[in-house]
Amino acid sequence: MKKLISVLLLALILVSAASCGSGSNTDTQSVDIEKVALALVDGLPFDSEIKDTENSVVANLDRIYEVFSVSADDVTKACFYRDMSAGSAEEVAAFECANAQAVENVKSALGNRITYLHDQWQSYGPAQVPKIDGAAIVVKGNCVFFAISNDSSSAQQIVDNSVN
Amino acid sequence: MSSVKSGKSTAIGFVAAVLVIVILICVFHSGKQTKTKTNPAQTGNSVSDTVSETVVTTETTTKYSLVDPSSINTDFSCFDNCAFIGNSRLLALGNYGIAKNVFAKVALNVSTVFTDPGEGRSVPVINELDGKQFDKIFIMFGDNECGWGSMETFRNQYKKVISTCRTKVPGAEIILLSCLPISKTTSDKNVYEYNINNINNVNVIIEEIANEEGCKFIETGVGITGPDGYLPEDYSADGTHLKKDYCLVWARTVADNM
Repeated sequence: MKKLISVLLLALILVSAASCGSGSNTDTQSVDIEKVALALVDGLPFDSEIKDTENSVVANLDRIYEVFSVSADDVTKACFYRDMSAGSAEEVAAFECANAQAVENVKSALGNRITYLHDQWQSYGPAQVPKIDGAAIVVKGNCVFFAISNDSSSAQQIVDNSVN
Repeated sequence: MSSVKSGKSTAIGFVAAVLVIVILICVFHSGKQTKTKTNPAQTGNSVSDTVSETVVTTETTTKYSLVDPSSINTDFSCFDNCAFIGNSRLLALGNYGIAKNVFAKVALNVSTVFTDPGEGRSVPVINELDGKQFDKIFIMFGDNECGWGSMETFRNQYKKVISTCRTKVPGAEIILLSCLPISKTTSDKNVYEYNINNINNVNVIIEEIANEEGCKFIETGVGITGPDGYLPEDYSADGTHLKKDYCLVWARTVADNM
């Protein structure tokens, strides 16, 4: 009898652990990164034509990995909108990451991108530098959102509203 | 009698036909001369002072005619086996899917093309040509060199770019593209001496380089230069980099003249 109770207890613990895990997955899966990215494009102020999303979306996932120096192991899904004329540093990106460590890796890559863009535009187009320095990185579960706009301070709120 | 008459009218017809052909050749020749010799947005600087008044007048009717983007052929498959090397203004061709092989970078110039990698890339932009085959290589530099003190340095470096392209991709035809016009607002700001006069001066030098190096030169501002010689203000968000519709017009000009 004692043995049976032990087995049942163990089974209960395993089931609980499994359901906890699936709960956190649901958190990530419930975040539609494309929808949130579009909300950022729509809600943030830009000078370029980035809001014309049909013409500002980068559809090639490999190119997104390349631009942001992130790996396919870390990022399971991504979307990227940018100023296709190349006349500004304005962009919005969203990444669905494989796990918590991947989130950290993506955050680190985004930090490097800010440095890269800052250095690139500092002498070429100084007007872009405040936008780059004010870039927003917002983490929601296993998703990371990135925005460079005229004023990215409301990015967190836009992400929160879109997810909720 | 009738055969003499018919012989006479044949002769008259022949002479008339020859006259028409001669007139057509003259008209065609003067139009062609205008296209290749001038830099019409020039607003008074020394380089093209020698351009004759007649040529400028004819140019006005061609280059200053803005082209409706909705009217152009958007099939750019002719670029599939071509490479583009240059500064940020070229990036749009790749970003908008007009050309596949665009090797360019923001702020790139004829010197940094040998040292700076493109965005997300690990080798200098010029080395992107390594191991690849192209029928044609389009080169577009000059915007970021407008403020250079020495145009001789620009000229020499530009020639070095051409010779490097020839070494890396033997057999590819090298085509030099003129710098596109910029808006009056951007020109008036004159940041780093980036203004329409300097662009026009650089374009004259690029055409000279093309002649010296035996390269084709394409005047790319056709169809997107306003009557005042500037890029219309609404063609670009920053007065320099073209919006998609006008990229299409620009690309069409290149495609039709390649």
